[in-house]
Amino acid sequence: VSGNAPPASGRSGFRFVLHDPSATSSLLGRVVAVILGIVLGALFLALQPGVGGGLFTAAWESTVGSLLGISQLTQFATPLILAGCAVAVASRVGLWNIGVDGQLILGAWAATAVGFYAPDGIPGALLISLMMLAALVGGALWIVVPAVAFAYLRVNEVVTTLMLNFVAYLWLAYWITGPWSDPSYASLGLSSKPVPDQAFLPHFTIGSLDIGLAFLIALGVAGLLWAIFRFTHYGFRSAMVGADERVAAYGGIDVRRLRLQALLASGAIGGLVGVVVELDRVHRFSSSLSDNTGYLGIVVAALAAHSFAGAIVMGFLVAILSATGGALSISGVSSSVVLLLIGVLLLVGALADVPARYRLRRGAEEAPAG
Amino acid sequence: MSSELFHVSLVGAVLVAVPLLYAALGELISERVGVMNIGIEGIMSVGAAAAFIAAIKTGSPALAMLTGTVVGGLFTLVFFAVPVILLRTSQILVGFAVWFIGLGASSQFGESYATQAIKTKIATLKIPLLADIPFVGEILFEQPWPFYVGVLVAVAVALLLTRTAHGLDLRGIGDDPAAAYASGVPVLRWQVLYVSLGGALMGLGGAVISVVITHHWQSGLIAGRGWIALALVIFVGWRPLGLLWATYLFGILLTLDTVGQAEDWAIPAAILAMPPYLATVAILIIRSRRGYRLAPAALGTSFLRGGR
Repeated sequence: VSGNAPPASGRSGFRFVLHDPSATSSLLGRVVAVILGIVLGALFLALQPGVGGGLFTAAWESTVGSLLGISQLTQFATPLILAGCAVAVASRVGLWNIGVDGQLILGAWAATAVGFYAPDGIPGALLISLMMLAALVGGALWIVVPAVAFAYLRVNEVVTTLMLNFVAYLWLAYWITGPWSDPSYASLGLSSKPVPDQAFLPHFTIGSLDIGLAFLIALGVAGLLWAIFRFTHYGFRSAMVGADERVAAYGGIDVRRLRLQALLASGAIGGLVGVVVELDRVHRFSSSLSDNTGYLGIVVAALAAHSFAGAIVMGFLVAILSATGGALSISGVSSSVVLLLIGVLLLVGALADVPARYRLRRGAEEAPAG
Repeated sequence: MSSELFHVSLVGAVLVAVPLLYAALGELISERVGVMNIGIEGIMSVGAAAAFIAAIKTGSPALAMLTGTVVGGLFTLVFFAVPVILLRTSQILVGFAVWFIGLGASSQFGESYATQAIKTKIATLKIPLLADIPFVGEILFEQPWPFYVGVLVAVAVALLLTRTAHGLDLRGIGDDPAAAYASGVPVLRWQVLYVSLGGALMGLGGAVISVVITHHWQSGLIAGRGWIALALVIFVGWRPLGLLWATYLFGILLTLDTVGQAEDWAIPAAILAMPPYLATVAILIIRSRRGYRLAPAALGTSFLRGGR
């Protein structure tokens, strides 16, 4: 990289030169960006009519300021962490799975079918396991066409995975208004009948702190993925493909097969998001399952720079925004503000890579090789 | 299906195709200068909301459409063109950001208008003589004026890209920006201008949806049409005139559920609404074998003056 693009910084002999951003400077940029994004968001919210100073009290109380808030936060963070992991599994090999929303619906659909048609006296642990297995398969099947089309025909996976979301929303609408509709529940939004009681995921309470098994599953999945990508041969090959496809192919890695596997795994985790949310709090096949989770997962993965540990942190961060938005929607600010703020956060996060590309150097004209 | 209903639905499909045409033309211009803008859906939402609010405030559909266009263009300039072209951030990440910001901002600002409806319907423009041709006359020559403008814009873009020296420069930017720059073309200036103009067309596409088609606003109004437009550009091999028939095809698919309900078909409406999305996946797969060869060679890369 030659350094004649950035502006010289003047006579002092210091100037900015372009270099490839290091991991540290990228990460630092992200952290600063996220803090900046939250400050901007808070300012924006405080300026909304009828919000003012009460905003911060409400935000504090409904998130980290009380045990109830923390409990709620873990519940909000659960699907976000999982969705972030699903997106990151694909983005590690350079692909974008935008279809987590669809996969979670199909995962939940498959799980619900198992719940409805399983024999009555089936033990809870067995039923939950079967439902989760069904969700993994359902999510993976929902991404088969985009995955195969990408692997063998290089069809843009962003568009194909996204398009299937709309099909999934319609699929959901068909089942909850048709074969599985529950008219007695219609006042609270369209949904199916509830799944059997023994399939509800348990919650552990310590005083007023309430932690669901679902949250622990999300942490477990993130931890497991971290270990796989850190310590196994598969993780190493993924890292190579993600860094440079051609070098990886030259090194003897079957890039096509690896990417196919990554997309299928990403879809399976997407399916898991659906069943976990359903069994944790919704307990029905319902339109409230998705709630933009798949899209927020993209933000979580992108801001976490595709790291699974980072997905936990960013999952919590986006959950704080969601919870704040929820608290504010009572005071009249619509929850679409949350989407707006998250978009700004993503934009600022992407912009944070810009200063990370420059380094301050002392000396004359020749630029060091990047 | 009765032949009368068949005819009516073919007439209606033209109107449904118009927003897709504008949005896809906007994306096509952007991609021909080498920039992939995946924020179409968000830009259309912003255009739709801005135009709708303008229509309620002024009562003039033409002014509303203009508002949607200008707001769409400015929104794209500030949130997409500048970060992506001048600051060289990731086109994919910023595209996502624009999508979210557009959806969020449009719902936020459009919400207080959600209960209102536009009273002034846009006038249908009947072309003399041509409109009297049996069957096709009503389909092609008795439509609201945004349809004719859309066809003209498509023709203009085609002429600009293939018949002018400036168009050659633009295609040069999309294929090899370094070579274009070396031959004296101001690469970044044209990229910023045409990506923003593309955004303006996307905003206009959104405006057509809220002002001409639905006459009311709700969040989620665009329902994936921006993404369909993105796929259509690939489908037609980056050729503007191909969009004329491709968007019409999708207009027909998008009206299937209405037709099905009117006809009491045994297929549920939810299932009948799936074909546009499934067809998008299908056309991308069909196109894949030779489609990508037609893509601008430098699509999706950012240009650094004097860089590698």
